[in-house]
Amino acid sequence: MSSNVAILPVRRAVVPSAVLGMLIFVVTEVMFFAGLISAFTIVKSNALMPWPPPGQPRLPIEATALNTLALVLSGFAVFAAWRAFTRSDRRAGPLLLAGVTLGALFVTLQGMEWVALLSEGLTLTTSAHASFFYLIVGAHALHVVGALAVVVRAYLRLRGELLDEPGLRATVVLWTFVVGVWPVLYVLVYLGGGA
Amino acid sequence: MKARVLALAAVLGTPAVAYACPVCFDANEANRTAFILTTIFLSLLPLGMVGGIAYWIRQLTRE
Repeated sequence: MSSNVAILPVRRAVVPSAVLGMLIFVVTEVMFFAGLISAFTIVKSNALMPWPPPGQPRLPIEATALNTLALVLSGFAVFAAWRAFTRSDRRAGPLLLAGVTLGALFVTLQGMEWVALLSEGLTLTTSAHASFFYLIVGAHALHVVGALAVVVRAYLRLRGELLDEPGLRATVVLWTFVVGVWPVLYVLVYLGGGA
Repeated sequence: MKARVLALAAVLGTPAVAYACPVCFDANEANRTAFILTTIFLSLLPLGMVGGIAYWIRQLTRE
């Protein structure tokens, strides 16, 4: 008796679903921030008075530059954690934790900055510049908090030896986006003086 | 027929309000430039990102 068994070629995903899904999500997030940047640019170009308006509390450019450095360093730390993980290096855990700590430091300092600005009288309704400042920086801060939760989850899974490489790579993609978009927003909102 | 002639006369007689783009005739040059640049930016960005991902996946399948 002969059996006709079809031998199908083995199919292998070239990109893990977690990574591809995260990339698609990041594309939508990039478009969200691109929309905000475009709106900011158009409103700024149409401003009838100097930008930012005179008499408005000054944004803490120097302190936020240091804060930016903390976020960028956290990006390097999370990326290094992924590289260590792929080499089965035990430093992946501490590096991931360093990334989480620096990210949390960024969010905390941003929160303190907001409290100081609000106490100085800069609110959402002060001017178009102030509205965009709170909208853009606030949207980014929310993204940092969400992405930080994803990195913390990856760290906990790493400690429980449940983390797989595609999961960590997807986390790195998200964190890299959150870190990478910030310098653009910083230059635009904090340093983008002049009408 | 009479209505069509009147409609044509109305369109030909008021070309200034028939612009398709409401910002192409802004008096503020900086604002007009900003609209054009952001239109280019928002048009090319999704194409670039999706194209980049597609190119990357194609390179991976060739390896």
